[in-house]
Amino acid sequence: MIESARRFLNERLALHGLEYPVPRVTLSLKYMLGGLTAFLLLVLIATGLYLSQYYNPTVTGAHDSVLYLISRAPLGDWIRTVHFLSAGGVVLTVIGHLCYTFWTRAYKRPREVTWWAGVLMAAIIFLLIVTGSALRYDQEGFEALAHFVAGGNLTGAFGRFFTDSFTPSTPLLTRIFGLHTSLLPLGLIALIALHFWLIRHLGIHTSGAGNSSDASGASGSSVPSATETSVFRMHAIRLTGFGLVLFAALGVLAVLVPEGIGYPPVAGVEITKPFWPVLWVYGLENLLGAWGMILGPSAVFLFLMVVPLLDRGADRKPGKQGWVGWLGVALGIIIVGLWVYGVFGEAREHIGM
Amino acid sequence: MRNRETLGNRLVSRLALLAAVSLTVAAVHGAALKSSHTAVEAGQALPLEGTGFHAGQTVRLVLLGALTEYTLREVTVDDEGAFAFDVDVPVDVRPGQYQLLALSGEDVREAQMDISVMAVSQVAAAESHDATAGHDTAMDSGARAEEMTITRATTGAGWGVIGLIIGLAGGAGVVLLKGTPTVEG
Repeated sequence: MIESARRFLNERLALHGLEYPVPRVTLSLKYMLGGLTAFLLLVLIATGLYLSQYYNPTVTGAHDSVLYLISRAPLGDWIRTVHFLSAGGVVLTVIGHLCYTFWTRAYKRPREVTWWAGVLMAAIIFLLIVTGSALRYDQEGFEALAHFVAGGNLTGAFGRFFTDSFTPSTPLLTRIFGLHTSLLPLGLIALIALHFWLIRHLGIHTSGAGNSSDASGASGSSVPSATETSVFRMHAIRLTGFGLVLFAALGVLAVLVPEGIGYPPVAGVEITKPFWPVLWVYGLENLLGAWGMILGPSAVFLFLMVVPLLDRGADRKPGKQGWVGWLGVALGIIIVGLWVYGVFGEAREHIGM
Repeated sequence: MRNRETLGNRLVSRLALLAAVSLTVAAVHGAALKSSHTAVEAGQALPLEGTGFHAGQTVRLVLLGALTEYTLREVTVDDEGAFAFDVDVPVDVRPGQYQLLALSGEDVREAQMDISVMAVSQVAAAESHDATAGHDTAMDSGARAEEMTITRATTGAGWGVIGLIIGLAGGAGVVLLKGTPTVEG
């Protein structure tokens, strides 16, 4: 029965296409951080679709609709918390994936575009985090929205989309909802497709795994021998296994620590701190004022984009980037320091609401 | 095989009949609520018109929001199936988006329209904000950074479904991991 079902699906979905060889080391967890990010993004899409059936993206209805979700919608409280926890999980898997690929210098020729697609995806995920935190429309969400306006005003015509002056026909909250649920996910899906396409055809980089082989052979190195290889289907099954266990763990956590919501917002005050992945920017705002939210993320994004251009030598050994590596480490330490400062530092006004 | 076809034909014809009856009822009984306003301030009156009701019918006007429900008044429709008056929106109605419903009998929805209710205090709050210049704005404004205390409403069945989802996901995950080879490092 199972065998005939497998044959049926295999024939119609061309599942034999998943039987191509990949290095055996890709069965380890550290080679699944990108895949786990994709898995959690699927969880976010599924839970987000459910939440969007109850969420009312208007100034008058947003807060009440979140309260409705928590207190009355079937499973709404749990699904919302899973959405929230998965967003945090995505941040952690992205950071892990980024750090590992940076350390192993997976951005080097011919994988520069794979890296750039990944950096753009990280930027979009950052924007999804900040737009999502505005949607709760409590005091924290309202202040996040006010930060969009302040950032938009600081950057002039470039940031006009994030200000109320963009159009009188639609409130900013509604447009941010549109950004969070359509534009940004569409961009992300397009980049994921590009990222996966490139990994499929250039091969996965494995030089950090104790052998210096390159699965593609595209840069002149050898394809792993038969004893070192597995098939992608095995990687995908194992990845799904890790993803499901992670989802179950997040589900348990969502039962134990349900996500709350603050009181309805009051305009003209700034008293909350943002969602934890953004706290490093909050720390920077404590030091630089409102410009911190523009300069900090821009500096990190620019650094990551130019990494493949700065580290162009023939040497491919992991962790031997020289000054580029040290710059990356310094940037990482600064971000962690700012994050700690954001967590424990005093709450200040940054945008003069 | 023939039995299956007969059953299918019967099902399709019944569904078509049901759809036709529903459409006919909707066409004959086209009750509607209308107002010149799309928003009203709590404590103020909302001009309201009803048309297409059954002559002499009594309907209850209800404001239904995401979290609260307010009965505004009952109205008996005239001989032409219509009514028109200003309905008072209570001052304690929570600001937000509402459906204004005309309900008959056992809460049957005869007609509905969307309406926003705005807070009276928005104007007053702005005025008091100006008057208290020089004080701690956050404290004066009533803004609060902490989270609300909410009564969560997951039912026993809900917990069962959540447990099932977690159990199936975790169990399937473990089975998949056990069925694949592990790699050091």
